[in-house]
Amino acid sequence: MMFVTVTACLVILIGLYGIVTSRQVVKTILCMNLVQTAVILLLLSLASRTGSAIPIIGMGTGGMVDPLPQAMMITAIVIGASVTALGLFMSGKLFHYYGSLDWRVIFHKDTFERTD
Amino acid sequence: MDPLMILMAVLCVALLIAALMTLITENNFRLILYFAAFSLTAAGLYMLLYAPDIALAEIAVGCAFVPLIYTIAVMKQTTLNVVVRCAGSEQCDCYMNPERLEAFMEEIGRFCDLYGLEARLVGGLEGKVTTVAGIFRPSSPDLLIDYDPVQDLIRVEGNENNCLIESLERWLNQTPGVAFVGVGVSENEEVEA
Repeated sequence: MMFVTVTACLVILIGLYGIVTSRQVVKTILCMNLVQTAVILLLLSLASRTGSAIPIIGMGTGGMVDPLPQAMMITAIVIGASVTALGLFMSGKLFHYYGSLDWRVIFHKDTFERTD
Repeated sequence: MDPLMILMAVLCVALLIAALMTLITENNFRLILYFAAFSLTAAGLYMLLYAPDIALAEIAVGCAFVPLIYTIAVMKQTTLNVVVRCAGSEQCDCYMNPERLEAFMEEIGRFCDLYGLEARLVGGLEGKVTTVAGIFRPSSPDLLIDYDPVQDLIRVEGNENNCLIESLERWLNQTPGVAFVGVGVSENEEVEA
């Protein structure tokens, strides 16, 4: 599954580029989500190299894949959803405080206030 | 070649396309839809990587729950919460003529239409909400409307850091009988709160 690993790495790079360059707060949070999904995909693709059966005893023939990364990743999905909810709550508060969700407006207002 | 490998390659290409579309889209609602498609494709890949339980969790969380909370958050970011603190009965000190209040709210509604916002009247908060400043508060009022019977003025209170409220201030300066009060937050006040 070499090409799945490569795809996961490419999506991580795409997500990092989005985090750095996006101007909307919501889009930044969404790109963070993108990276999180891609990391799960990367670890699963690495774990699936050890066998070719789902990790249930009695299912399939040959060695099963490593079940430990799968148990970790199911936790990571839930944590990612919680982090998303927290970030969206903070973005709503930022909107009601600054009246805009553009990073440039938010940073400009902040520096303006400090020099004042 | 194994048909499962071909399916996997197709899903990988779809994943890359969905991620790139997420990167170049600026519309918030389209962004959410592309992310849901991305999650669905990733769930298919998990299934092919011998992890059916993670595919199930990804479909439930990444494809349904996360787009739902994104939609709720984006919809909340187009509302302007207005709190009216004038009393409705004539015995109170700050009684304001309801027709005048309605005319004033229409004025705010015209401003909101200009900026693509939606004005929402928050009721039942009399006495609880004292200020509009500060980021972390239990509720997020953007405008407080008071009435001063001595000077016959409608007093509008807004956070002066908010650039929408700044535009509203310029808009209201042309209206007679309305005074705008800007409230800012210094760091000391934030600590006390």
